[in-house]
Amino acid sequence: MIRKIAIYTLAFVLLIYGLRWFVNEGLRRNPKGVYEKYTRLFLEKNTFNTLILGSSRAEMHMDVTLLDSLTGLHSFNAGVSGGTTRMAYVVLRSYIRNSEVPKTIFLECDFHISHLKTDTIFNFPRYFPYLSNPVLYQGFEAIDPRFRQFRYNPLYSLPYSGIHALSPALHGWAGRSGSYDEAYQNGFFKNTEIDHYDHFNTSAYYGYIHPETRHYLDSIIDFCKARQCRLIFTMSPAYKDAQQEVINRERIIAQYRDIAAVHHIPFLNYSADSSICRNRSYFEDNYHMLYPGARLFTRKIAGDFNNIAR
Amino acid sequence: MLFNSLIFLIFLPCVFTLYWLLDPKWRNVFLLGASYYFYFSYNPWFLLLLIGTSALDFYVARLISASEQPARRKALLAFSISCNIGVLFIFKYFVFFYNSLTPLLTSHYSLLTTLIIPAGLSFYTFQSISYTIDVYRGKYKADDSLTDFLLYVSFFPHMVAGPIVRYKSLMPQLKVVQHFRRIDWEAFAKLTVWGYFKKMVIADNLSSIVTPVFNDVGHYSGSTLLLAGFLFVVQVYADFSGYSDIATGVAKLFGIDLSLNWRRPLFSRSLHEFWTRNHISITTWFRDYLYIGLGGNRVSYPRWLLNIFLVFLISGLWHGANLTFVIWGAMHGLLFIIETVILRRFPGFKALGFIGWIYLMAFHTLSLIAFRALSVQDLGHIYKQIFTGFHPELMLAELTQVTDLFFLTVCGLLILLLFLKEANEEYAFLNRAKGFEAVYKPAFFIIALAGIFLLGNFNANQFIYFQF
Repeated sequence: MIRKIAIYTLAFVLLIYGLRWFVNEGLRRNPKGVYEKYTRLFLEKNTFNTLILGSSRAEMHMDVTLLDSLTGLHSFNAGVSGGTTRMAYVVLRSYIRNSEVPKTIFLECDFHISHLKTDTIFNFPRYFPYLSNPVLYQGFEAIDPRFRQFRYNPLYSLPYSGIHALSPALHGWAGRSGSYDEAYQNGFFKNTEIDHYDHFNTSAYYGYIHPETRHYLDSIIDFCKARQCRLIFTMSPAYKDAQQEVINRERIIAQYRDIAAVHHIPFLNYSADSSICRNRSYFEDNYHMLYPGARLFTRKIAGDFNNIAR
Repeated sequence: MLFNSLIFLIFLPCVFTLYWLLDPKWRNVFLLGASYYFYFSYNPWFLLLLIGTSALDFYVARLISASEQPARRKALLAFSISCNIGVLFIFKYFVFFYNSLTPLLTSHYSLLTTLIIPAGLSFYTFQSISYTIDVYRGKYKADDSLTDFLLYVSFFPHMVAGPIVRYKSLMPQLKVVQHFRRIDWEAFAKLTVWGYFKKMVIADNLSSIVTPVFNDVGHYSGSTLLLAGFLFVVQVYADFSGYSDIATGVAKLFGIDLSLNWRRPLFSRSLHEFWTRNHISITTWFRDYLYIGLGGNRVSYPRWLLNIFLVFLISGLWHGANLTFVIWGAMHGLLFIIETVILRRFPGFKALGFIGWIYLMAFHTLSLIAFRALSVQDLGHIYKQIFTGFHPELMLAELTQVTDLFFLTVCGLLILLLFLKEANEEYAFLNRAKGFEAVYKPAFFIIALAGIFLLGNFNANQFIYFQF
């Protein structure tokens, strides 16, 4: 009886670890899409000279292919969905673990979430296949202690990655990409689909720069100074209604401007650019632009960059 | 506390360990305490209701047992049944009747619409009633141990959603001293693994397709609604039989065998056969305590048919205070009567296997649509769409609005797996394969266990039958 139990338990443990490897390896093998982006970011050696950091706004707004064609840069969009400044710092440190330090970094400053403390990682199961990158693991484990379990215990991580990770994993093993994956180009998410929900609701609040945001902003600044890396702050457009949502928006932006001025960092603020922000057809919701808006914004950033570089 | 919650995974090993460490004379007291804690975690106040009704039945049954006067015995039985049905009526049906009737008299009736139904109320009430009636009928003497009786009613694996266990089946097992070495570990493992697989992998994943469709029936063609109805057939079976399997498996850890509640009802070929396989404990309860009480078939032919119809109507109402349940019961009652009439006229009549199965599945799907519909208006719309707006060409496009094609494929494969496993239990076509018992069967359960972690829904969805 005991022998039987031991054999069955061993078989189960092997199977569950095997399943986790199958799922994670499949995800890492994705030829396109968000998993391919993270594989490049966290596991591969890259030679990009420019990195875009920030949240989903950075991910959706900076068309790196267009940027490269207009500026001659060789850039990769490292914006992550739900990313705070702290996460951007972890992503940057994780990136340089395997890759060369970029010469230029564009950091998207989100005035509307700068008051948030990072107490969770949005869409955390997406990062499970990349926890072999020790910097990423330590950075995320410091935010969410469950990452220790996620890394070592498949009984804990598999239920979170769940059935919905299976499809991209199988895609990865088959070497094929899903229709959604095609929207990713060098980390940039080409947002062309608009759903039928109305995301344009607003509720007014007072924002501020949380000490955590400030601390990691300083960390990124220090990192760039130490490695002679040019840092550029960007603030991408928000739909005009959203500008009234953060009541003291101007004050927060002024604080970012002050920080930039103190450290001689160019600050490209398009958060209220009237040619974009008044046109609802450029937006999927208050803070996320569709592809035409993203192209327009990228062109403006590229023009500014060329001026700075000159 | 749900079987598919983390807290239960802590609760069960603790209860199991302490139970077997305790002196046998304290085990039932401990198990009763654990069962009450299990129920307490749903709603502390409803524990009082559970204790109150079961204690009342215990003492009334003792009085019935002690009395020799038929009138007094009858009065005591009537009192016990009235109390139990009264509680059921207040919590399950009062709002329904109040809201159905009051609009005719006044428009101020919304205050009662939020009354919560105690979990498992129908199950433990029916179990209690069956005991009192059996004592009244003289099948056995009233129990003399309050602890044992309270445990019989509230033994945690079956308390919330059955199976409804008869006194004669469960109580002798509670009275004897159980031995650790007699635990059927294999049965425990198979039942719980397959039960959890059915609940967390099959039922909960199907729920994520079924629920959006039934919540928004106006947006779908008849073919999609019919498919959603079929998926609900599988969902409700996997959910409820999954619960019963887990309950039966968990009970085995304490040396208790709970009665069989499901015998592969989805392989039935007639409604008569279906009701000998589906939710057996409640079906036999209605047969023994309602149908026979109404006179069964020892009455005139029309009255017999009326008895059948009434039993189904009441069983529909048992599921909840909603007209859709009543319609479901009426549909089953009518078809059962039609089958009864045909069988009486042509005693040897038997539907051909596959045709009979198609007939049963079609009816079961259509009737469960009534069970699942949110309102009578929705139900009318669904039937209208099925019969006048079928449009199978729209089905895939409509379903991919609900979820992606991969998920639909996985769900299709899971349904196939469920049917294959049950088909093997029914026809034993794989059992003769070499190494089936030694290799394939254990491998299947190990893969199923791993499958729970890979494909399962861990959001601790409530079991469908808890609401009844």
